[in-house]
Amino acid sequence: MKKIALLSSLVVLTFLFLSTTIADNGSSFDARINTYKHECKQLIKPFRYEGSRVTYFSGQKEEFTKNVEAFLVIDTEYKFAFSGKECSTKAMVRMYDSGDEKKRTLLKEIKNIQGKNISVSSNDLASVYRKKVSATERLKMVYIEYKIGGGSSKNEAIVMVVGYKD
Amino acid sequence: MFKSKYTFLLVSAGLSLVSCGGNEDKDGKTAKVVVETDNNFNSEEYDFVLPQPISLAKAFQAAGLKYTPGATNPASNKQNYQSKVKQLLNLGVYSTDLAYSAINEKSQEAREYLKAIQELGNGVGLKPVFSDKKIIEKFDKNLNNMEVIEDLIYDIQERSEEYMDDNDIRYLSVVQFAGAWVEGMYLGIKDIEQNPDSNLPVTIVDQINLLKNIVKGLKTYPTSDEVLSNVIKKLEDIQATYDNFASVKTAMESSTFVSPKLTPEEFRNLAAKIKDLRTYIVK
Repeated sequence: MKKIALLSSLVVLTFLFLSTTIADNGSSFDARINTYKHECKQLIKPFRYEGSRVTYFSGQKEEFTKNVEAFLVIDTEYKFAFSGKECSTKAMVRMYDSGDEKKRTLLKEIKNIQGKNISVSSNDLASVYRKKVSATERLKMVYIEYKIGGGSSKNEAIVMVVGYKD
Repeated sequence: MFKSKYTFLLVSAGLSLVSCGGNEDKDGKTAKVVVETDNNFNSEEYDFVLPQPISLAKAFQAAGLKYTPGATNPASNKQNYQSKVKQLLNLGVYSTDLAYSAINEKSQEAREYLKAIQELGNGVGLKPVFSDKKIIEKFDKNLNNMEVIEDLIYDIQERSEEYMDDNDIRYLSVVQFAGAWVEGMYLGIKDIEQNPDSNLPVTIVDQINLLKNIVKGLKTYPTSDEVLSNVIKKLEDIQATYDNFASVKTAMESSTFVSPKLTPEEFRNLAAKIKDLRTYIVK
């Protein structure tokens, strides 16, 4: 009986240890993401903060794609800041004028943001847009595509923050 | 679209006590502990960022939107909104009304909307953002300084968004944004009806582009709600109506991205549906 009680206690303790470890990993991950978001917010300053999106991923064996769409509702300069500091594999960022693969135009390509923070001005995107697309209006939306290398089993993320000149 | 940021759900602790007689069972296998986790960590393939209500108001202002007294939803109506969804929708409506009043330098109206937003915000579980008494104190100290008031609005919006993100309740922000969007469109339409030659129709068409993301976001709301279902139906109807306009079809078929120019009849049709939805939300 003693052995059963001892083993049961061991099992419960192991379970509690694992639960706590997972929770701790979660909160430290959250803390890092908040730090990177803050760094991105610094990168868009003195622009007004419009919004952010954290793209989470985990355990993908092959290269995969994630997309985020943002609208430039005001006719002014916008700034996009990306953080790839919570990304352990190569991550390419492509920015288009649309999500429609048949009609969209590539405006900017960042080969790899793994481990880095980078910002992009909509003025630069708009300049490419005007050159590549004739007879059009101002750039009204940006479609962001992340191409992320597989192979990592960790929980990871790319942070994006957008703001505009007021 | 939305993922639970942390869903380390310990779904089951499959505690396999293989042996009752020590560390090894009769086959000589070691006792093992199996902790299964359901790690729903991945964001959806497609996600989006919605603008802030004040950005919508500024887009309309830049297109020439003029202040129309009495066009907004009276702050006193706040007591009529009892369900969480109605409160969220009208939190959005009042966010636009607050921004609309502030950028038009109507500080007393803006103050009333700020108070309404605080009350509704507390009601929908955003107390940590809205219960701060310093917000209204700061507002009162700067009633005639619209730059500070605008800063305050941006600050509230940012804190509200962060709180919802941090607590995995982003679906609340989409319901709120839906109300903000409808109110912005409504105010734009009211203005166009009085000033048909303004540049606002272009802005109205631009804002329609946000609709599919709003609908997608609203569908992530975790519980069924009759009001929300009706709002989604009405938004989908607006989208379908818009997509079927001849001017929109022509623009979509074009090789370039030029916004459609709605005919007066198309505009009236769209305006009627948006006004109907706005009435449904604020009643």
